Amino acid sequence: MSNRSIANTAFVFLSRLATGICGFILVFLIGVIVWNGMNSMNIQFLLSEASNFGASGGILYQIVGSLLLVVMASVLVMPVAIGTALFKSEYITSPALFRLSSILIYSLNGIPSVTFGIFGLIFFVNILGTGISWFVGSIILAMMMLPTIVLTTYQSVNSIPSSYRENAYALGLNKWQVIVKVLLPQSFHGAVTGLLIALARAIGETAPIMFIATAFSGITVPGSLFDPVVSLPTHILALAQQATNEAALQNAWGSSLVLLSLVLVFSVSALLSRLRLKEISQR
Amino acid sequence: MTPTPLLKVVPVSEPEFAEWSVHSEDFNVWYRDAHILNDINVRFPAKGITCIVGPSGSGKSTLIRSINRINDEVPGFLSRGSISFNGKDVYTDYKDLTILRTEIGMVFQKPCVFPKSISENVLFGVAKTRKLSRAERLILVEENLRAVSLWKEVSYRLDDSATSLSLGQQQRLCIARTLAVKPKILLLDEPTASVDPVSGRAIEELLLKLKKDYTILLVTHDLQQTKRIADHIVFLCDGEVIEQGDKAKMVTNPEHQKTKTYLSDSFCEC
Amino acid sequence: MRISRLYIAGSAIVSAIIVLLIFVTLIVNSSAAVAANGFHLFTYEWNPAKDQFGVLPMIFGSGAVTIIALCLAVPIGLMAAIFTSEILNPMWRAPVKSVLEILAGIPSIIYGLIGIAFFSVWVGDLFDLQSGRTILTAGLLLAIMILPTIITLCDDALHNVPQKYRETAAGLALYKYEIVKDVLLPIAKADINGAVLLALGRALGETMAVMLVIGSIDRVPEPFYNALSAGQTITSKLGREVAESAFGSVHFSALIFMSLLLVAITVSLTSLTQFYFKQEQRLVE
Repeated sequence: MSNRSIANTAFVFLSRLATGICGFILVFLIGVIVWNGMNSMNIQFLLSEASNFGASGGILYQIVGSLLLVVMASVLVMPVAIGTALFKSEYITSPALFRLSSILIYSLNGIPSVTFGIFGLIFFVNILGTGISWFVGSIILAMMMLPTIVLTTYQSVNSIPSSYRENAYALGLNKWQVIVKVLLPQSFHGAVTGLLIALARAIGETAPIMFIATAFSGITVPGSLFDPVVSLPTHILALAQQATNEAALQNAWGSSLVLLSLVLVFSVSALLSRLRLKEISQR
Repeated sequence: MTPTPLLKVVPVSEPEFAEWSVHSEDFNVWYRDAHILNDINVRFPAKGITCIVGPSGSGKSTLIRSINRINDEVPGFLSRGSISFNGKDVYTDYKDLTILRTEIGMVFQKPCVFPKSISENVLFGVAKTRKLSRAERLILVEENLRAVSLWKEVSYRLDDSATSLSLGQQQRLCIARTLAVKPKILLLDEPTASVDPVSGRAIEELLLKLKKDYTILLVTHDLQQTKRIADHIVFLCDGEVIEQGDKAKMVTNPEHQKTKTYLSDSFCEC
Repeated sequence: MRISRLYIAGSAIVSAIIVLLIFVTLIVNSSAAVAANGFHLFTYEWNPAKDQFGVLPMIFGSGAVTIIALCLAVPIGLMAAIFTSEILNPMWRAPVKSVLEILAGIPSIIYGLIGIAFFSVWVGDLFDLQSGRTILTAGLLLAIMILPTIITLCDDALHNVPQKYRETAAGLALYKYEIVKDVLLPIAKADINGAVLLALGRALGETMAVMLVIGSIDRVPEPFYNALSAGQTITSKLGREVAESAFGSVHFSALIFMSLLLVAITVSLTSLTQFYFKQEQRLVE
């Protein structure tokens, strides 16, 4: 065998090895979460209230709280995101402004999650005096979701061939009619895909909401938008910090499995939605 | 008086060449479910230019891409039968494909230069096979660029990026790069299809110059070109070899009606 | 018509304001610390009780865990991407990518939990330490967290190199590793750099997982390359102390100053990334 063929064999082996390592890590991570999570999983755990600082009882209200946070965030973010995407795609004509808008969106995407939490703490909780609440948590999550949804919506609006627009204008439609009748129906799927991707990320976020939206325990369903909530990620955080307590750790694994399942529901839907999107665009 | 036999046994006309460089026996190719080549039996004579012609979709590219096994990477590729080269089966006797490919060089339809300098492109394949001294490099670059008549055009800017060349020049550079590896056989997959007519002619002349040293297998859909440069023609239609033979016979006196129609009207009912 | 234009322009303005508001808020609130400490912010002592707010240990910690993470994740991720893009049967590529995406979606708090329950224990046992909550543990955990991102993006980068380059190089009798090393990697270099920059930004900004396993001690280890001692990153510091410090105090302001530093770095990284990835063009038919 020549040196070259030995080098080639070694190279292929190394890349297989690297992939093997990654596969092993994957199996380990999923295995650990599922195995440990299943041990504490039962109907009782899912449907009862946490007690004894989370070490016993269930996580019903944490699940409800997490869902409340992201649902409210979706309601807040969707109109703004679609509007911004349309602005970027249909209204911006100057390259400089386009560049600026891209930079702003990518900046928002690049801000670390903990910074969002700090911003919320300063601006909403302290300056506006809203207090620690569901509403502030949702606003901050909405901000974090914004760039993802804007970008996917923008891409799907932008990928509509300009002949569609020209034909619609030729039929005497004005810009708004073109947007509502031609562009939005065509790009609706893109926006939904973006929303699902963003939701999968947002529901697992801890750092942005831990200062501003959640209380650790003693809360069930918030009475109003301006009451604090409990959530799964912050619940896991609190339990993880008392990791020496067997029962607390056990419940942390259970909560993790539930949280991961919620994330999976969103990300698998996003995946399916994207496949469907591809089908539509290939038609 | 002995009656003249009504039927005379005519031996199947086979061109007589000293040696066969490549031949295939019952060679079949599938891409997933599509049966692309069906029981191909061809013999390519050594030296000279063999043109593989046929309507698009007849499997001519697939055939020459099977000879140096570039097709192996195509998803869903499956082959049966054999292709022999120098008495060795290409599909079973070559564990190390690079050895096969140093002996069988290939030039593709679209010129594909690497984003490197012109001289680096010429040396790209050959520099892997052995250590080259500086002098050897210079010699190899000049020799091979001269072989493709590119030397005069680029000798003063060998360090420029190869992407700055025109498509026709790029294609000639690709041929030079392949020649530098010193293959015994040159496979060319419609090398003139995506270059301008002038460069196309230049490449044809180049091939005519090269044919005394190399076995050249050329896939083309350009019948004028075939008539200009071929020594030997293989006519493929719908994945089957209809007829093969030397040019004079194929053009003036083909056995099959299909061959006749195709070579005169470039039309084929298959 | 007018309402519609108002809506679209309005949402664009809201988006822009959000970004600007975040920056302005951070700058305004960090000014107190800058005014009180000036260049003393860039020292090694952090002790709010003595009004010492040196941020260097945290900057060091962030840098250290990120470097460890990249050194582990980039080679492994790139090699794995070469496998999925160039060696693996293309039929399997789509499922593998979906699995990677799911892996990338595991919330960081869950990584943190796994870090506490396993990694810190392993590191502690392996090196016979009192506590396994070290800079190395955090780096390891981060490496695993950014691995899927690196693999997916590097795989895309390699996969986007047109097939003709592979065929041409194979036709010139190159081995697979030569094709990858001499043809594909140089062509995909810009996108791969972009992937690494993006992963770098993610690693710097990661909070929860790091916070749980790094040990949270505000000093640079002795000697500085001792990754087996506890440390502190900017994010873990923020996660631990922001809620404890009083709003408006110099302590709080010093924390915000660190946050501003972090944002400045990650935002410039992501903007830089944007230049690496190609912009999509509108289809004109």
